[in-house]
Amino acid sequence: MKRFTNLPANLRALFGVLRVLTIIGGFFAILSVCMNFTILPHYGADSSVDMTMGEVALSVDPAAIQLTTAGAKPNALVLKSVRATLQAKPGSKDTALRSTLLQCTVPYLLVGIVTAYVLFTALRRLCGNWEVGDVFNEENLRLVRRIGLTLVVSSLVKAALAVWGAAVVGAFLSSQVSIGGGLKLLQFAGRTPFEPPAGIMSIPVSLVTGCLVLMLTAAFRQGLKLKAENDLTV
Amino acid sequence: MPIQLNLDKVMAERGISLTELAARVDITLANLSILKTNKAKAVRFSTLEALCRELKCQPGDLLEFVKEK
Repeated sequence: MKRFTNLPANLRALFGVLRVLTIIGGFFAILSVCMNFTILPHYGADSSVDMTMGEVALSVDPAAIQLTTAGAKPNALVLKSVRATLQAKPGSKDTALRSTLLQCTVPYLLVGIVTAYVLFTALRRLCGNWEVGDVFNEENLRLVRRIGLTLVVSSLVKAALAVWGAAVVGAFLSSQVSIGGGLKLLQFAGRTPFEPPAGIMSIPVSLVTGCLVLMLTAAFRQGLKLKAENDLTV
Repeated sequence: MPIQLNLDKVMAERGISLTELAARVDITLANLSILKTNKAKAVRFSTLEALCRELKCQPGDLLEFVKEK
């Protein structure tokens, strides 16, 4: 029974499993990119997967949506724009499409894999030290700081990649793509017809969490000092 | 640290060993060793009281202020 109620041991096992899954998932993701971008097109085979390039905002007829309630006023509810997910085949022979797809997916994928690996490794070691009752020590302080820094750096890098990816896809859409069906690309800051993906809004959460962990590091350091003093009080 | 503990000197004068004093004062050998080697950051009054009682001395005999150079 104690085995199942030992929280640090269970968390350590969980983070260990997540780390292994990160390695396996990362390996297969990289393998899939290599297969779909280089190996399959080389042998003339079609790739079966669709890769998401990002989201695009499109303007539509505002009257496409109407209120049907009794007291509804005209233009009380209008359809301003719609967001759509762009998907493409990585094995396409079109070099511009392949290049754009590579640029907006691979860096994001690599950052995600590296971040997850560093986080799960640090968390696993932290829980290992917690399990043996060794909480306030220099190694744990380094691990907590590493977790905080990883969260902050990865959120900033992801934000930069999201904006950069939006610019790359925007440039591709404006020069290589035509849109029909009454749809029109929305201009983003007057430059690119591509908007940053909706996922960018989750980045500040990661950044704030990272800052919070770094603040906890300061408290941890203070705790370490108190422990050292307490250990030398007889 | 400017405050020094002269525990080793007083112990030598009384002819008492570290193990015996640790047993009498009821603190661990490791903690008594910290006191003897002047690594301690603080000493509790209860510990000081026990040391003075067993070594039959005053706190001033154990503690000394040494000016740092």
